[in-house]
Amino acid sequence: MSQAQEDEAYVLHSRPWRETSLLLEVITANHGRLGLVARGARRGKGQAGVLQAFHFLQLRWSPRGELHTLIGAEEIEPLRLPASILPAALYLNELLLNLLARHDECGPVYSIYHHALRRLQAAAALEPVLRDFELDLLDALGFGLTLDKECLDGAAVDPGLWYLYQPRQGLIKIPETVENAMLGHICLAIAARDWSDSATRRAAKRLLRRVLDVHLGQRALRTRELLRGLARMQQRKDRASVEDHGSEASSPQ
Amino acid sequence: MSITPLLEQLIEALRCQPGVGPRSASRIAFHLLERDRHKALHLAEILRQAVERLGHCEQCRNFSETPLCSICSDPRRQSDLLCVVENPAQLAAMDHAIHFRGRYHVLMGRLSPLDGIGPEELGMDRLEQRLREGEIKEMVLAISPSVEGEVTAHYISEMAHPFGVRVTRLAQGVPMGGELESLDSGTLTRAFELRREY
Ligand SMILES: [Zn+2]
Repeated sequence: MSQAQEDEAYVLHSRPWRETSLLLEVITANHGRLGLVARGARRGKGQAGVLQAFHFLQLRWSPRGELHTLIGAEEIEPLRLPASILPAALYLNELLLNLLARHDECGPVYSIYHHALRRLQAAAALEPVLRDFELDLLDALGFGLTLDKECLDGAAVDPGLWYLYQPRQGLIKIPETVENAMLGHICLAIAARDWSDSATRRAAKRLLRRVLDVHLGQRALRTRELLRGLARMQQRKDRASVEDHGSEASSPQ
Repeated sequence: MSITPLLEQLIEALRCQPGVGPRSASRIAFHLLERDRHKALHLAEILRQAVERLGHCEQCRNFSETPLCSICSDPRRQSDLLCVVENPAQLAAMDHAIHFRGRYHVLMGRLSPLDGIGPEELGMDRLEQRLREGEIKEMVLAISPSVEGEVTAHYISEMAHPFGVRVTRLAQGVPMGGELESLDSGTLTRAFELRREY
């Protein structure tokens, strides 16, 4: 019987397990991503209310094989995300669950996630939070994007020229625009995380989606589909309220 | 007792039920074969009929043997009041506990993209269609207050917006007979936020 371990953690996902238990996927500050079984959590006085996604908890578990056994959970601080933010927050969780394996060392990913959730809770604009998270996550996993230099010769990006980002390689200067090409000033704005311009936000969303898809392989993210559906409804709402104003509502992921 | 191939298949088949492991499966199998062969045959027959004849009501998605279930085809039910529940068990509980005279919509689950359950799996377009038909004035969301429940409620209320339907949600808070000190912080926070005049 090994020693109990303890760490602070966020629940990424919680699902029913056997008759009365829960299977939790969590990300911890120092032990990476873990799978934990909370025995009896769905019985009468169980802790199902606390053991939910986005809850910030101090956890104790006894390690064993692939799935550890949860022995204690206490909420460190209540984190309540409004329902309208939850789909985007679930997108962060889905990315982590797809890009980290259980027991993976994940270094700074925990604090990147912690920071992103705090910003969402503080009602920060959605898109910059998601883009920063995606860029930080790719960095932390060793797939960081270099967007201020060309990948072949390291030449500085010229704001007025066209570039194409090749996943796993980097920026390549191209003579004229093609599909997915970006102007140098957009590349530089993304590198500087300057999200003030909507053209930069749109380009970054497309770029990151392309890069993430390479790492996700064949797995389609189900939260994207949900966010797209919600964005369509938002668009319809906006059209109804301001018929003539050219408002732009696209899904944030 | 040696395990024959047929017995092994029966035990394996019983394990398809949630929460039934190998040990309970063999216990059930032995019981059915040793003590209750008649009931076992009856079970087999009923199960076959249920699987063959029980479909979903085309209006509310509840289990039904007819295209329209008994609630949807009951003319005494109010057609402008709709209660959205997660599953048939909740519908039965609601209909039994309160004198609700409206109609229902059964989602058969909650939106949980991380479990592969999206709007399509829950037939959200069917619910949208009912809203579009224009008869419904108020929609009561009887959906559990979990993360997935919140997402589901949010999605449905966004969907209802263009149709000008009043959307309400069951109150959340202290359960009857509940001890305040034993409530988790989430429940307590909700109960406080949704407090009302006394
Ligand atoms: Zn029906």
